[in-house]
Amino acid sequence: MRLFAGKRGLMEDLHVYLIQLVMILGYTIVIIAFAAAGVNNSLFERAYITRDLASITTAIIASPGNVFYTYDLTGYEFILEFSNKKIAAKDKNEKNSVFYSYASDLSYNVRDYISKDPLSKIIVKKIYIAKEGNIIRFNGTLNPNLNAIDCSFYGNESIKPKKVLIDIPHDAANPGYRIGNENTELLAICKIANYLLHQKNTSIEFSFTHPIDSSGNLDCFHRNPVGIPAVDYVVVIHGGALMSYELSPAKAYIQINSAKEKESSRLGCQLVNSILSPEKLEPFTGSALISADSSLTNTHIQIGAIDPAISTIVLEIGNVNIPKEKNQLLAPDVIGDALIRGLSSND
Amino acid sequence: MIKGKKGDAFEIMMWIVRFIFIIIILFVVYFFINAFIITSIDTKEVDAAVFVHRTIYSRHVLAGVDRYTQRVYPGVSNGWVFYANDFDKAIDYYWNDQIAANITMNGFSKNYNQEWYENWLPLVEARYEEDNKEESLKGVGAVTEFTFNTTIVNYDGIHKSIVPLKYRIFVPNG
Repeated sequence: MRLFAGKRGLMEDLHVYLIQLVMILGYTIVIIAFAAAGVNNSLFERAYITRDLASITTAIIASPGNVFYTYDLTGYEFILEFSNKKIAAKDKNEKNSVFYSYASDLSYNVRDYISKDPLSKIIVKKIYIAKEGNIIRFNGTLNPNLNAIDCSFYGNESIKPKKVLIDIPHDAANPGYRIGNENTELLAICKIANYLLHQKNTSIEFSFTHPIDSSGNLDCFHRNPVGIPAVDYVVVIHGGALMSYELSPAKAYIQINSAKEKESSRLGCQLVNSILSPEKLEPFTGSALISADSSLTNTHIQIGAIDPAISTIVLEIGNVNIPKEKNQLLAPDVIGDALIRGLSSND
Repeated sequence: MIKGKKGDAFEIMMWIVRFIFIIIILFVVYFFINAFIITSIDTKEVDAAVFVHRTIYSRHVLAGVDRYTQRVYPGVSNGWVFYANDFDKAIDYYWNDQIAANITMNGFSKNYNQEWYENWLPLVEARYEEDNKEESLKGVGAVTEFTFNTTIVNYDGIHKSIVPLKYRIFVPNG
């Protein structure tokens, strides 16, 4: 083939060469851009991060209890979008999306999230994945209450009792009296009960298993005669006198075979969550709702024949044995307010 | 370019060959560069392992739940839970062809993602011969099988026993 056809053909040949040259130049630019993206590894990293986050999210959704996880994206300029069971990683211009699916659970409420503030346009560098009950969030707070229990399992309607009998710790043989370390528990909880006694700004009508002395306060060391007034619930407050120093749980024993089994569970859950929530208190080490039959709750309350329509909840509100400066039981106003909040409905 | 008469046909053919040659070169360069850029990550085995652990430890799948307190009993199950729970609703992916499995507990069997389990079963069981050895299908269109054998506590409220739990999990390669 002749490279230059001479005379008439010369210009046609030049046109073809120019077309080839433009093609090659265009292609070279595309290839360099493609290679540059590869060198930056942004494609790989986005693919990696989406799969990594998908596996983590699947595991968090699978966990039996509440979980909180921080995923650090410092050093990356990716925008992550969580929606419709998939995680998409985009570049900062919200283009070139790479996404992967995680395994959701149709019973859970998984909230959508995008890691770019819609107003300030700031790209968030830390993803806080939180499983709290049946809610999955990707913008969880730094200190979520991981011990909180999901009360929706026990009904969507909050329980708001009008009349509640409060019982404080006592010895089985000598109701109203305790010795040794357990006496600390009695006094601490008696202060909380006393705080409830003097609350006037609540719609709950409190009664107590201990009498009121001449000064208008509860008599911690004596007890009313056997028998209880007509109330909706009996709440027995304990402070973990027999627990080791390391544990400080908030838990409720629920009388499962009462007429109000489900309502009791819901109310117990409300109380546990309200006890957990005051931020000024030392963190609790755990929480639980524990099913108990009537014999256990009767043994705890020691008040003889119980009206079957009245349900008893035994509430452990921490550990009296932990060091004094950290002891939440010594904050009767905080615990008292939390109890009122729990009895007033808020989870 | 076209100069008429004898040389014209030959000239046109040569230009066509030249263009084809250039396109081939460009594709070779593309594939060569692409080969050095890793964008795909193989997470099939991880996906399968997470699936197994999820079924054992998670609510709504195999793990039992306390009737009153609704607390999950990880690693504890029974026949009622095995049959009553809808695994497809409890483990729900964006793509319904991401994973499929057959789960056998104490001799009783159930499929997760029944449709794709049946679709993939022939691909998983297909074999070809290479160097006098039977090989399973490979490549993007094939499906990888993972098997897991473990045990779980079978608790019906009265009796407890440890029973075998077997998984046959299919994850597509592509």
